[in-house]
Amino acid sequence: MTIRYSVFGAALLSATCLSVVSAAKAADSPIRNRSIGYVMTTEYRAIWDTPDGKKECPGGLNEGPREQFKVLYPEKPGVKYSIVDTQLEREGDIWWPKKEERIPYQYSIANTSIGINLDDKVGPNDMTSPEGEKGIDNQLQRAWGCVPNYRSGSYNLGAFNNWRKYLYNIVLIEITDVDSLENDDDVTLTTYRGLDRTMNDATGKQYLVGTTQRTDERWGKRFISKFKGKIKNGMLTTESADYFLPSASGSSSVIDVRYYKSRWQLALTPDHAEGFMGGYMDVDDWQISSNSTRSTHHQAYGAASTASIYRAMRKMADAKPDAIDGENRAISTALRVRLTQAFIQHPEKSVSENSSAKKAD
Amino acid sequence: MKNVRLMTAFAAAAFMVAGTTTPTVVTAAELTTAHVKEAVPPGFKVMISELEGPIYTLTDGRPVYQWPRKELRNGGSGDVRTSMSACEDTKNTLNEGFMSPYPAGLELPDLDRRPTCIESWPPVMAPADAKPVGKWTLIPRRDKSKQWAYDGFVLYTAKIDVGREPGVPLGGTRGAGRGGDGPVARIPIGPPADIPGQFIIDRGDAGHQLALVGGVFVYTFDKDGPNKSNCDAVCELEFHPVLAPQIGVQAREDWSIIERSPGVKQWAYRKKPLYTYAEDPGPGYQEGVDVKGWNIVFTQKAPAPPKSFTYQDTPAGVVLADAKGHAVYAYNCGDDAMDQLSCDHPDTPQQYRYAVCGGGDPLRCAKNFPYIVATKDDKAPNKTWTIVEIDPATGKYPTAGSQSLRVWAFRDRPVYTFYKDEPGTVLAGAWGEFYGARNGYRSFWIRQEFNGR
Repeated sequence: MTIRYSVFGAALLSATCLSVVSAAKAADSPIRNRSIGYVMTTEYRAIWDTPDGKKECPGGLNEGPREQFKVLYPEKPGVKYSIVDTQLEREGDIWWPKKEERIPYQYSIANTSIGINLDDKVGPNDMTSPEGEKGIDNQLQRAWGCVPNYRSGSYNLGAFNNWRKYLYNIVLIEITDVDSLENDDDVTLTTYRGLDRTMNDATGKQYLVGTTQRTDERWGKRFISKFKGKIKNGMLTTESADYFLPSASGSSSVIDVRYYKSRWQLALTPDHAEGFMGGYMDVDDWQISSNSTRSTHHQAYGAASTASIYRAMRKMADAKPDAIDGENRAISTALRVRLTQAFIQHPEKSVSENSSAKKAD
Repeated sequence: MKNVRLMTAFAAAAFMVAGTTTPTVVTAAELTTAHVKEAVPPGFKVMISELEGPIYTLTDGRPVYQWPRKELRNGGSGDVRTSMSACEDTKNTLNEGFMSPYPAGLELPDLDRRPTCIESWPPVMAPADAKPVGKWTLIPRRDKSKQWAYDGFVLYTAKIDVGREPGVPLGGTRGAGRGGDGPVARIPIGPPADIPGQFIIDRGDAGHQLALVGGVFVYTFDKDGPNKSNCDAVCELEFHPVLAPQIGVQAREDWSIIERSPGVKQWAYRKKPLYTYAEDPGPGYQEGVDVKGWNIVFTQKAPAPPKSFTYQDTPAGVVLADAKGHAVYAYNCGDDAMDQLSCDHPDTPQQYRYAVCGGGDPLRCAKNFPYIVATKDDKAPNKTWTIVEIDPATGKYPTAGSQSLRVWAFRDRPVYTFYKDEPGTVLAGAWGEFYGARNGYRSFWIRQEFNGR
């Protein structure tokens, strides 16, 4: 049986049952059948930095794989290195990181960052936002804050953002049981993977509002998560749930990153939703995803040594203690996200009964 | 995740008949892609490779290969069209630093056993009185002897093929797992497929799949008769007939044209009318196979994997897995020397694999990327999926007194699973240097829905 998608069918049927006036109002509103959808168009990691980095990284920024190689294996007259002891040692460390760091690592020491309070507590290791909001859970700030790859102006930030445009990585959210985008104390946010690309306007700079986005409910079941939430003064805040973020790239990787106890905090308008998706990110998922989507060569553009970064993330991890060694395997973090309103279409099984295409048996 | 061993709607799953694990019997007519009958000089012939399709071999069955130049991150290697061979009788001892961010000048492993380029890839030499024929030409080597070339690229045989099954190119493949940042590979050559200009053949892990130029896959319909379409006007809204030209069509084996209605002609392949599916989002998709009675089209199916293997749904499509549902991986490796020798076979250095499968630790490799062990009753289903004896302590063939394990192999190279995978995950599908393309692992995609798009 094929999976088909009707174009706004349910919404249009509903609208025709209403009065002319209310139908006109409904047609103006993207809320249809008490639900509104958005497609994620922008994604940046929630990392706070200053232009010169002196406040958060007084020891300077971390160096990448190219520079680390030169430090570990300096050119010296008469010294020959083998590929096994050097290049393959480095690549081995990337995939199977050793416990000990051979090059001093620079952690971000400032207690300022952005993101979400994931546990509804204000703890001694929590961050404070530049606006003074306390209790922000973002230990990734400490591990990543001094890595050029993740700081403002990094070449790779644009590349990461582009990932969200790959078909594998299209993220949809559908907010249901919505009576108002201003105030509503009981709504549900459901995540899906989408099947359609994001669409730009003719300038290529703006995403089109009101496009149709189909949900992938066959291959993308792992990406469906439900979050209960409330809207207060236009701000949606959800309770927590575990979430798989699709995180593939152009290669053959199928590496998705788990966020435990994740939650969304979004400022809603009829056209956009903007804010954070935060959670405790699985460090091993991140490591495989990062290595599988960006080679050492590409990581070197942003001076990102994934082996060193992995060790730093494990050190700063603040959730999911391992059953055997007790060490934490997940780290608090958030993504700064922007979503654009879209009409969500779910698959239907309705097909023409008259078609010989369906009369095969 | 769903185990799709019993999946029926999917033509690639013809590897296994629904409800059984018996490989499908492939008739001779379905066996291979028809090819253009080119003029061939004495000493060569066409053989049908079960993985590659029609290939050129020497008369004793050894496949012949080209080594086309490819640019890597810091320079390139391989042969330039119509130029002298770049593969010489010198032993490379240092890497070239082709693959950023690592420098040149690092000593290569196992130098005492490292062959020269021509020891691994003997040139196909021509007798003094040889004459060019069609695409076959003669290009002098440095010593003025003449080397055969096809389509402008000089030809080689592979040492690895010596004494092996005729017509089985173990030295290289034209199929999946090449390209990108992979090594400058040797490619078995063959005559062109004899297909109309509207079509291409997409070589994937499921087989040689027929598509329109641009990559949109085509379908056949179970209810159609021989050279007769039963897809009615409503059906046509979903499955669009692939229209054929009115004039100027050349007669080809396996191809025919039917007249749907006066003046409307449609291509048929092996007497089955061809269609595209209106709801395929674009090239590479094959969502039409989910409609009952509709099939994708292979000019040649891939050789059947071991009958204990399974297919698994994943978030990116369907992947080949072992009996427990764990994704199966092949290992690829080409070194960073000028001659780009292979390092993915039991006869080659194992240090590259050990680096990415276990941080240099063979024991960790054996635990984390275990071999897929064949039972004592298992038999190779074909010449591509075979059983080899391996010493698990070294990754090489056993020697007197060493351990020996019977393991499944693809193209004579052991295949593996990954210890963290569960049914439906493919965690190591891009594991290793340059997403596994250079020194690492790849999975077998029977159906891909999203990757790379």
